[in-house]
Amino acid sequence: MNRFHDKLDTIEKHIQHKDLSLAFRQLIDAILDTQKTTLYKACIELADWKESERYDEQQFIERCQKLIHEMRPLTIHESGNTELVVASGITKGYRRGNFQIGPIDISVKTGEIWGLVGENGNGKTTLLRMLCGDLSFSGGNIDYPFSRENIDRYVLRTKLTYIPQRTPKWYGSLMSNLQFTASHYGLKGEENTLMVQMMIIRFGLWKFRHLQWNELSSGYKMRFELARTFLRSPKLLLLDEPLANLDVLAQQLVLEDLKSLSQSISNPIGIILSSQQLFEVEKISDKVLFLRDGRPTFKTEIDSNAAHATTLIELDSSAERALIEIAMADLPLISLHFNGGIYMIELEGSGKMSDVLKRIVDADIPVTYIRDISQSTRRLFVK
Amino acid sequence: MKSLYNRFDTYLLTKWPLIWHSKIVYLLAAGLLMNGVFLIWGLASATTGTILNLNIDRIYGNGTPIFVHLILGLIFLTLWAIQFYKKNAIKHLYPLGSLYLTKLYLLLLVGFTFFVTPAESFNYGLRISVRQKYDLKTLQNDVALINKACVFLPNNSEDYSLDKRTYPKPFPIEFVEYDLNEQTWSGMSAEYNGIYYSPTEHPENNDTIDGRIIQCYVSHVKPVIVECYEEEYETVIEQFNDLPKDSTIAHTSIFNYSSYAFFPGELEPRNQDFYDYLDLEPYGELDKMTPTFIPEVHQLMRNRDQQGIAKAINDAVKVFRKYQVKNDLPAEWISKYLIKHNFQLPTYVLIETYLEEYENFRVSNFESGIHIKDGQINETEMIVGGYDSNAFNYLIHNVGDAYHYIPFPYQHWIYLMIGAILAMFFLIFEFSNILAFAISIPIGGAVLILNVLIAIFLNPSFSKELSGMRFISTILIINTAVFLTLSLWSLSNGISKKIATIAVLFGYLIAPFIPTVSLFFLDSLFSRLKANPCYEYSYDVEHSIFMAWMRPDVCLIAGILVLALYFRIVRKYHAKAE
Repeated sequence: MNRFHDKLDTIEKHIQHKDLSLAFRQLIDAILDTQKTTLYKACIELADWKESERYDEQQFIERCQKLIHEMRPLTIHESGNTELVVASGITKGYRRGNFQIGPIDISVKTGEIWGLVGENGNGKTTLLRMLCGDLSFSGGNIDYPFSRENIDRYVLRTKLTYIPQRTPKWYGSLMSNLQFTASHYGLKGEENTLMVQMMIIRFGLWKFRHLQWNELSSGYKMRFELARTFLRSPKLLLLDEPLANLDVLAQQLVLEDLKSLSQSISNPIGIILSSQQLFEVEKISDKVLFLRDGRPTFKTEIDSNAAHATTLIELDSSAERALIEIAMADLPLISLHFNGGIYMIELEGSGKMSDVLKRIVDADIPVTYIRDISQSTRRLFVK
Repeated sequence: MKSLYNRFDTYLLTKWPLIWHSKIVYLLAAGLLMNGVFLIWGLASATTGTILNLNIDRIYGNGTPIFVHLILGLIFLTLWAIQFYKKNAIKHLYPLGSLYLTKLYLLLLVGFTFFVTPAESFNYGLRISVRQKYDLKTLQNDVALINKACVFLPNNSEDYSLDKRTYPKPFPIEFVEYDLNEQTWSGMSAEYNGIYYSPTEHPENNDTIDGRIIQCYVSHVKPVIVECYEEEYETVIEQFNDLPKDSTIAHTSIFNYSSYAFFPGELEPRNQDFYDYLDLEPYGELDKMTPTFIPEVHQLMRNRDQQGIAKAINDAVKVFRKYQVKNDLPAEWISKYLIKHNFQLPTYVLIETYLEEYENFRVSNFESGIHIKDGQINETEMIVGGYDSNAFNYLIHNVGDAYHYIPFPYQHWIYLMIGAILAMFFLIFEFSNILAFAISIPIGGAVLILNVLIAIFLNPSFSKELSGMRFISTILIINTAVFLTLSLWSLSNGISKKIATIAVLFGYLIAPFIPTVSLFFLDSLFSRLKANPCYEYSYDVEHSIFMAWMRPDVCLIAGILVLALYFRIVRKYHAKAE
């Protein structure tokens, strides 16, 4: 058994549980790992059929299982984890705004996802642009170990893909743009069309493949950018607020896709993404970096500090402040802040969430939302 | 149709991305379409009226075709540009194959060259049409017939002056009849040992034949420099001869007739020297030539063959009519008049070249009740008829051009150069934008002026000691070096990308001219000053071998090679961090 077979087993389980959408997306990832054109064709045919009126769930399951069966005997070469970018003490100053970012140390490996959070204007985009070589930096050093043999900066930058928050307009059909990208990355003829179609299916764009830029919603434009980016077989993917224009469901899907694709068996990549969706990002990220006034704080630091410090709980409730104070009276309450919408409950020591929940239930306090943010970068936003 | 187009487009996109991106297929299709349209237009434009009134090689540039060409070209180029700039691999930092920009540039160069060549297609169409209308051999024979009649059809009284008359062949013996009262000897540029020659001063060479005074001397023709550089051919008298008493005149040139003739050389095969020759002697002296039919003419005159002369003129009339050249030549009257006046100077026969003028004159006189044949303009001149010699000259030139066309020197290279410049211009916006380009031009101009001022400031005697050419070449090479250095320097990390954009654009615009400027500079270094033989304290520049290399083909190929090298800088600039 290897990772590939584990992956196939997982897909089969999803199928058994009728999580067909997730199963199909992971099936596509598995097929992409095989790099077999026959499987690509079968997958494309299946996707086309799936979008047609002839779709039948049972038949779909059977066809997916048939594909999994075909993949079982295959052996996939697994890529090891390598360092992609090592930034040491990088800084950048802006004279006019009297603002400096850094020094920051980052080391991203293949298969890793780094989350980049912080309030607006704290240097997230600047950091991403520095890492992708789009912006110069004043001090420190950035090394790209995967590309040491390449001295041509242009070649290096072809492997560092950066998707800005506002993606530029493109012309022509979605498919032709992807084919253009693929052809420049060495995919010619039939291989080009197959790979492009696979990416279109992978990012749920099959129905929109002949549409143009102004015919797509912002969410689908972001999906297009992701499809285009993954056609480029990037080593390091830098995403600036990719979730900004997506609905809640789409955010989950995109994050799951990024996680899955970053951990591709044959072609794993490193991802750094900035976002305001703290909890979602924290959920999929291996490491989270918080930027305030350009200075970094790593989530690991928050974790280690939080372990022997305080418990911070975010509570959304319509209850009066006095009622909450009475409920928490026997707990080591340090402070209770109300910022107009949400209460912040700070307690001495760690791991007090269950105690707080018990008091809330006992006091019959109405709860819309509650979350322990002790180990989240969210606590760094609390003033 | 749309489906076929989409399939073809997708095939190119997925199989040949560079060709797809360049849109060369559509560019070539548009270019070929324009060439086809202009070829057909050229074929249709060769009407008799056109051929008799214009140089066909100038119709394109002087008329509607050039404007239509420009408008069509602009429309097609705009459509092409809209498609071309839609997708850009460089701006997206996609991997570029080896020599991607060079290949793209060469593709565009080929495509744009086809946008320039409709001018050539138009002229080619004209030439084909002229060839279909006129047979070269027939026209050559017809020109000979007309030239025979031209002897009796002078354009103006000056055609009768002694220096314009045709002399007998073979050289070196020259027989010239002269009249002691004749004053036109002053126009004869015959020199002997630097002494101006006048027959009256050399009675030892005189003889009288058939009651006419004859000069006889040995001469040869040699080129001489007049006005320092202008070369002319001059008859030089080597020695004087006494004509043997028992000699006879084999070829008389003693009759008065016009030397005017149409230039049959226009109908002969040409070489590149043809244009040099035209530059040196544009038509002026071409019509002064020795006709090959002199014996026949002399026979007519010796025998006072009025019928024969009338026939020669009538033959010309037939030819003119055949080619629709306007004419009104009273052959009987002219022949009768010539015999009656014994072919003597001054003539009273004047044939007006511009027929319209003649017709106006005739109508005016007719309305006044004056018979034209008897109508005298002044004491010595009288209009008796006319033919449109300009029309026949155009005909000969155009037919000669159609059969023996040779392009102007480096004509095709010049088309390629225009294509190369267009390709270069459109390629700028692959890696830059219009705003950066617009900003670069005035800044580049300011840097250029600054360089000139610095050069003058550093060495104020520059322009005094060196020739203007050396000064200009030095300024150019300094500017080239500065722009190139700026381009390279701007790639370093400390320089902002905005400055780099301007510097790289300067460099890009001057890169293809580096070989030309370098050759110019080298030539200015190695060329020498030579004293001018004509003017005291005046010097001419004797150019070096480098000037000989400054040819369109060498400069274009070398320019493209340098541009190909410069594309490496463009690539580095594009990957540079802001």
